[in-house]
Amino acid sequence: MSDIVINAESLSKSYRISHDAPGGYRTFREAIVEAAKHPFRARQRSTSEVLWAIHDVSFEVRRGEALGIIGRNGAGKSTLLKILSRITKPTSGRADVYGRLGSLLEVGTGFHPELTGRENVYLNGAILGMSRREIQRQFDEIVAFAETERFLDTPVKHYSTGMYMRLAFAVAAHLDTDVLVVDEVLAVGDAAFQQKCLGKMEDVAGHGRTVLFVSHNMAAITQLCTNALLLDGGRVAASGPTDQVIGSYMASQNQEARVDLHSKGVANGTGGAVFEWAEARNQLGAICQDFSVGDDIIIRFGIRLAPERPGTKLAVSLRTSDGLPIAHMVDDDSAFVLDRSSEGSTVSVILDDVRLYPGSYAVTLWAVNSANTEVFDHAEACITIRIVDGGRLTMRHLPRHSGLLFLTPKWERVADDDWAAVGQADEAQPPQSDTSGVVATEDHGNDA
Amino acid sequence: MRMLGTGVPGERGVRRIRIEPSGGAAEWLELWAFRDLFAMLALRDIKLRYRQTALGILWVILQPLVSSLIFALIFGVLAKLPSDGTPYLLFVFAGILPWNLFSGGLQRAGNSLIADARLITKIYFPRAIIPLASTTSVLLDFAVASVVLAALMVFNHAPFSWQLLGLPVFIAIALAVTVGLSFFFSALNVYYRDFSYALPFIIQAWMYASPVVYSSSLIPERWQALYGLNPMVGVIGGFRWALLGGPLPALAIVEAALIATGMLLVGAWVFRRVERSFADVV
Repeated sequence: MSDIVINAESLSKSYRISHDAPGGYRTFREAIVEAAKHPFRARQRSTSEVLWAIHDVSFEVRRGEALGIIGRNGAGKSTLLKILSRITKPTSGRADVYGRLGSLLEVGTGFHPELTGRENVYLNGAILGMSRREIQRQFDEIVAFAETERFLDTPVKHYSTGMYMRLAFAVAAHLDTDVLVVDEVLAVGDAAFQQKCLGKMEDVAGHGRTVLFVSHNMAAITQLCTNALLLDGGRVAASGPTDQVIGSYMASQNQEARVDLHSKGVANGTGGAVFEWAEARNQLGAICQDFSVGDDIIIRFGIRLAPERPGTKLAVSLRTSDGLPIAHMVDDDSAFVLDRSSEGSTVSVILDDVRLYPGSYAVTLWAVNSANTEVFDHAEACITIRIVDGGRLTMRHLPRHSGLLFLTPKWERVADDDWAAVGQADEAQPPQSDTSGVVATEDHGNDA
Repeated sequence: MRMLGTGVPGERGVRRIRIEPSGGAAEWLELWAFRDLFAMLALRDIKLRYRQTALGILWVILQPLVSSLIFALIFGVLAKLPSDGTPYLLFVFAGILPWNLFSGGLQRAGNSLIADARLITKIYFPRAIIPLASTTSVLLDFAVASVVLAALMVFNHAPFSWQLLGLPVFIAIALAVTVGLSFFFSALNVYYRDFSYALPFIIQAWMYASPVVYSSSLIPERWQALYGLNPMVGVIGGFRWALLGGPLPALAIVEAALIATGMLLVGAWVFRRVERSFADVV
């Protein structure tokens, strides 16, 4: 049994959502007034409902295991991490954690803009649970990892975002605990930074320490984790080896070519615009799910604007089934503006000549405000497109591991004097004319 | 570069943490394990305060000095209230010194949990550290003001007597009251946000219920025991006795010590009961 580091037994957590206090907390004044009105009555709970963030979640984590926790937004992943980190308490159930647990739910928690880089390293380290001695011992390494030596005594408010994130992650990366709980910290920063973080996380997992890792990035989960736990609506929907669990997660995502998004409930955002339905069609106009390499794909969706009809920007993004982002297509880039004169619109996004390798691709729809500061609605992986072998371009089998894009570039043979020189080494005169050699032009037609 | 994860799991001897709905709130012993965080947070509060103000340390000197001057002018010169035979400025300053420790600590700690809401929702540590660190940062102000007081005493040729040895006792009582109420008020502030508007008013009313700007000898003898239920009466009386001489307000000091202990225990008990829900509410 000493092999088990975390043992969770039917952990549950409920929140009471009160409808008459939208802010979540009541005011002192209200409490006094209420107490004065009904001095002997307990607090009224007339219009509240109980929401289970996680329900009856049990699992075990063994020493040295890297466990990925996946699921849609609101599935309870973060709540689970917060309970295990002791930030919040469960409503019922219990969990035992053996050893020192460090949690990394955010990069740079407690960083203060007015303090210098050096001061923030010590403060942030202490907040993460490192002792002063531990930080002192690793200080030089932290600073070297962050590449911010020159700015150590500058307040971090003068740092660029990149520098700030690097320093914050550097402290976190040197947190040395038996169990490490990490929530989506890779979602910040640029691609290079994310790779660096992921590399560090792999080091952690590779050194026999136990890691619990929440991410929406299936590629990262696959890369890091041996086992995974799929949460759905607060319950454990699947657990086991990572690829199996990711497989069932992808399967649980809607696989149909046309989906009714309206019946799914409310907007996944602030609701300034709401996606009603979405579908994929082929170039013949038929609703379908399977396409060949080089086909046109038409993504069509219905969107309804809120009564005040705010300016709305739309985007469609494509991901592979293992979560690798491929494209994020924004209406601005195609000079499209959603007509605000009517409440509802049907929009077609026509992708011609899609050159993706065979496989499943998830389509996500986004509606944001014009300033791009607020998400009105987003339909995560609402439709799935399947590209199959064959079609007008090639009958060759295209295995996904050999590529993602099916490209047919222009190939040509270039006249090269050196070759001529090798062949006619003894000749006095090099060729003077600039006649080009044979040009192999195999036009495959479309190279867009 | 050294790789991560040099710590061999279990190296330190495996400690089990049980996570349960009830009980299991932060052990008070755990505060010791987080002493470095406590020190860093107190240090942060101090640094930020002195760095963000243009006057810096001068502000800590001027604030009690100027308010003492004003009070001395109004109550001593104009209203001609008695000051037990010492110069009114010195008399008021000896009261303002412990009072500022109390009110400053309470004010800073009262909003501390809200100000550090991000920490509370993102990381675990005994929550009591936050109000405790805020209160501690006020001790620096107290130390600076004490130097000013010593200067004032020298200037006024006031004698330094053996009674100064009593000061630590009164400081301890003042801190117990401050910390106890800080626990209570900071927690209340998490649940009822508009309480932060009530706090300055409570502090102001409390000041006039304490002998800060006037002498407690103004209170009729038969009300003294009741008056002493305000623990700051004993604390301020004790400070004046230690610094300026005069009769020892023994009853008020005993009352203050008992009430302060009670406040500390009740405040800590309440805080412990609610601290694990902070992250859900804040």
